[in-house]
Amino acid sequence: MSKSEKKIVLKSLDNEAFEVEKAVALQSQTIWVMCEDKCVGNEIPLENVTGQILAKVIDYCKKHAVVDGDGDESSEELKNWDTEFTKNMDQSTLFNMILAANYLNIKSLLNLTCQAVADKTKTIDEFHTFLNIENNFTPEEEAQICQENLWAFDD
Amino acid sequence: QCKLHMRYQYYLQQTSQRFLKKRAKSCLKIEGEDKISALPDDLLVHILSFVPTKHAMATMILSKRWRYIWTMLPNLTYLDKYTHIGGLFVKSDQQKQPIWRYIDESLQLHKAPVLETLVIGIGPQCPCPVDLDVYVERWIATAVDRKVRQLGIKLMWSAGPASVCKSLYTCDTLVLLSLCDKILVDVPSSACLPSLKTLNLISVVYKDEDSLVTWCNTFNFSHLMECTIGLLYELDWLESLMGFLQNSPNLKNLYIDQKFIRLAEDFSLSWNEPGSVPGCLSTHLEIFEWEGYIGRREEKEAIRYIFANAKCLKRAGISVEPACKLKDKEKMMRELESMSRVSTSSQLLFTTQVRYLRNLSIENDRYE
Repeated sequence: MSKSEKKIVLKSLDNEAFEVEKAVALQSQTIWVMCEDKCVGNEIPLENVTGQILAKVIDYCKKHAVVDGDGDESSEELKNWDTEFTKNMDQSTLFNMILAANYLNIKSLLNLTCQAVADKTKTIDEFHTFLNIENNFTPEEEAQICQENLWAFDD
Repeated sequence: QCKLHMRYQYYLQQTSQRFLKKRAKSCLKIEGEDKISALPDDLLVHILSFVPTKHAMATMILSKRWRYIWTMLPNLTYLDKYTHIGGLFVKSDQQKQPIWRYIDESLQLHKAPVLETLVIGIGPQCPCPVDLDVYVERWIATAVDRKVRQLGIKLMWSAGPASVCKSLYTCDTLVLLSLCDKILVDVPSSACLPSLKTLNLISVVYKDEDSLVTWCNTFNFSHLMECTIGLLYELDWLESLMGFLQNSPNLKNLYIDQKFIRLAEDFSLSWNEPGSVPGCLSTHLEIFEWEGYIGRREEKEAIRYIFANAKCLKRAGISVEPACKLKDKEKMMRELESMSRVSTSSQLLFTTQVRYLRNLSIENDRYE
């Protein structure tokens, strides 16, 4: 296999091009299927992901492509890296990462990002404060849901 | 009964008012943009699957968008937190609603067509309903209807053992089944669990010895890879064990725990070598652990037989019943060491080295 065949170009929604190793990109099931399809050349257009988000996704895939297959120590290190990776992401970034991971079909990244949202929302209050979810029930509706489903709120 | 009901209603009123008051405050602070709510339903469900079941269910009150998301959760875990925490019993609050009510009401509203995992753990402090059998049967029937893949039920309440609905024994989607404590196992002869890979039966109550024999001799455990059996009372079970091995051609790991039983001297245990060597011994069994071994002649013969025929054995772990005298223990260990093992590379470990029965936590064993 020549050197160029091992590389692949990913093009983002806003036309940013990223050249990456095939092994890195193929962690995405979506890209894998596209590569199987002979019609696609060496450049793969990703219509749902911006360059800013794609750069992060590629960082993740690079990290996970290198370490895969190594011993226990590296899996511990990988876990720490994952934690750091999502630690400071704001809601908007997490939202886009979840959508990108889902579109690109990278299961471990989807789990990681959904877990990151879940970790920040341990109580109902945190759902409101961290995710800014606005309560759009009328007081009557709210009281009724509460009455009918008290088993869910008795802490 | 009526007074209790009124007190319960009053308690619910109080709780709901307290909850709503507290909530009104936290809703005032919202200023930033809410992006997450714009995710499609399946991704919101996926996020909630990383949140403890109870909190995930409470999200129904967040907003209209979130009202029914929780009903599509594929994994439900109900654990009674009023059991014990670090040996201390949490102050039991008689007015608090019992966990079975919460399980029952939420399961009735739950809508996901496939229930990947259902885990129910009820502690000894839980006040029992009079008709608890009806509840347990209903929960299991719901799980079976929803094509459950992993089912774990541990009942420690003070009432008698609950029987399990018959459809459980013919559930063709079940991959993992853990039944612990106050559960009455009564296996019909029509039983068949074709997808089962892991079976844990810990301190359950068998309806009668026949039920255990049926379970072991007529069942076809064609895909079973791992099995833990914890015995609670004396059973003449060694031959059933061999029958079970005959019917489990792919079994890799076998754990036996009889540390909770005290065999009476005169309890007769029977042992006869099986007519043909069980397939799993020739081709699959790798780990064999036995906890609470007391070295009776029949037990010894059973182990000798397993050692002589388990060609793939990697590790055998025997933990000798601690109540035995030191001298007897040493003798038992010497005997076991002197038995020839057909798998010469296998290890034989005793008490302290044995991994011990894995802590059978049925909590959130996510299926990937």
